[in-house]
Amino acid sequence: MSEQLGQNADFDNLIDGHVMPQPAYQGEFTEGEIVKYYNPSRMTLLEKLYVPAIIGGLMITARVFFTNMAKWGIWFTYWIRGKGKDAPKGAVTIYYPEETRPDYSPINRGKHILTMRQQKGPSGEALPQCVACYMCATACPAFCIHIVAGESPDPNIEKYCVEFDIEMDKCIFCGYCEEACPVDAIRLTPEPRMADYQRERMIYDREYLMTWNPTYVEDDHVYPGGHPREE
Amino acid sequence: MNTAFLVVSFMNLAFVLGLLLNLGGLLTWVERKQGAVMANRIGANRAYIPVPVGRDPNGAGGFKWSKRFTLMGLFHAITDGIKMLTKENFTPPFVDTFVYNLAVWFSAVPVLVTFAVVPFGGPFQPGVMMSEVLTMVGMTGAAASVGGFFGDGVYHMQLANLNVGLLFIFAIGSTGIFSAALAGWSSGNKFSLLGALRSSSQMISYEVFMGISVLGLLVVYGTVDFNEMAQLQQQTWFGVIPKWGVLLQPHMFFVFMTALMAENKRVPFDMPEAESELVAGYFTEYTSMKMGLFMMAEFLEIAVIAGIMTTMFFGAYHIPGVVAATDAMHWAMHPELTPVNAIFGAEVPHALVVVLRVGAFLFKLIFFCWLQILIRWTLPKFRYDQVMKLGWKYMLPLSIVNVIATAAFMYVLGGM
Repeated sequence: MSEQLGQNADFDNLIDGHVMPQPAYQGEFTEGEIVKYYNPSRMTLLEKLYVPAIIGGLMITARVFFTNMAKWGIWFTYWIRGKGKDAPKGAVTIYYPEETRPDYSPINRGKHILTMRQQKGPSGEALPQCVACYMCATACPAFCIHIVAGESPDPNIEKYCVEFDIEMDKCIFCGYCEEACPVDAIRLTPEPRMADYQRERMIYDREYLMTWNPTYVEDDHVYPGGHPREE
Repeated sequence: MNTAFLVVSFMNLAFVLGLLLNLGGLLTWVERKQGAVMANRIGANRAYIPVPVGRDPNGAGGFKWSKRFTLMGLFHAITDGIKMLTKENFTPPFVDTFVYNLAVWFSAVPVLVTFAVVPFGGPFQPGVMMSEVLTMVGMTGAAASVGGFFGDGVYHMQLANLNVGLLFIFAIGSTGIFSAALAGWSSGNKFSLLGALRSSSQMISYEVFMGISVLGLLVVYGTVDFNEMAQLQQQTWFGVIPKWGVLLQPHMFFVFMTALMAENKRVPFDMPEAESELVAGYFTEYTSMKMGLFMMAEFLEIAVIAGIMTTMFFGAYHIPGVVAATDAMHWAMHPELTPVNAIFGAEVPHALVVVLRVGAFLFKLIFFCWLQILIRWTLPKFRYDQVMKLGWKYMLPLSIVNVIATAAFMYVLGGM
């Protein structure tokens, strides 16, 4: 370490008490002056006494405490009338999942959907727009899209996806699948809620991606999968 | 030692134990919630009791457990207890088992014992108090028998009426260091050992000036008995300003409070634990409720420190303004002076006097608990050399100078 310091003139000058050979600019110091490289204490006597500074700090935090408690008191008058959800709170916390931020961007990249064709299949089933070209799965940097191709029941269409699984816990929401898709079959909606309690349920299958609904909230309980998913 | 004395002692014991243990649990909640409110957060409130409301529309005839009864996060104290009691009680193979288990008891017991000498309500006559209450609800027969059982005996609302009160606190309080030292040495872990070493040296620095800092106050009071201290603090200057310890020795209030908080080993004096450096310091190797007892002891000590500060510096159980004859069994004052007398006439019933005194003590106790948690969430942790410097180079000389100055002042004045 000391050898390195000796080799480097800049580091060498940082040693305390070193006699500076040359000023870096006019008037930095007089030549030959012994320079101390630490910040001089700029505290006043009141601050050095320490106790007044501590009391000042305690008064700041106590002020925040009582201000927030007063806000919670006002909130309580709303809550007791059953209007707690709209009342201003004494905290900046967004109480997810009971509350969500109102300022999500409309172009936020969130939960995926598979678009559907207008024409139904021969037996009346919904057909995905997807032609199973694997471009989204190829573009995916997280390798979370898994497609099984099959022959479409519609004679006018060559291929479609028999299975289309997205591992949402792996997805990084980059939107490359959306960009890669030639037929606008996969889209990322702004919906940000995908949390779940079971890892298996984080694999979204084709049917679920095709029948997307907005997040379903009932009595403070959130069914994050859009609708209560059957096991 | 008659039966009435035993009954009163058990009543006091039940009150103090109920107060302290409940406060210990509640303070974990207060710690979380107050820290959250001070930082514009909400705090822990996810522990809940599910309440079934109606049928689940999606389930096969099951209940919908969707109403969550959180009670502002108060259940977290209970869930903490359940968690600590049900976790694996693991003893590492490399510890000295006997000392390792002994250290746990040294952490919680001295803290609880210390509160024994703190008077929480002044003198009271249980016979008079209970017969008053029973007469009020119309049970005159029971009132007569209870009054006959207790008689006119005057008891202290205090577990142990020791005339060495403060010395007892110093004696027992200084044994608290055994827990840290024994736990650290027996754990066979370098983090624990470092924590124990830090704890010991911190204790030496702070125990010294803790005693010296209150010597000035003892010179003024002329006693170490907490009951006498409490009674002395009801005197006033000019009939208005109470002669509380904080007004007699305001500078020593800060010094003594600093020493007590350093004894408690919480932020800003948490060098023995120092999560960022020593994992958990001297109780790194402890699991489940053994670790819980160390934590519990810290929270109990908040309440005990609050009790000591209240008694010594903030007039114990006295209500400022209610100045005349506060140690009397009934407050008989000028009715126009106090709102209490304005309601109850010239003589306030003894039961109400007792309730007001205990209420005043609890109010001050809770204020000091709040203040300690405020300090804990405001100040950053000291560096180790800063703690030593603060203790030896500033607090100790200041305390010694204060003793000499107070003694000289009292000699010249010839009394309080």
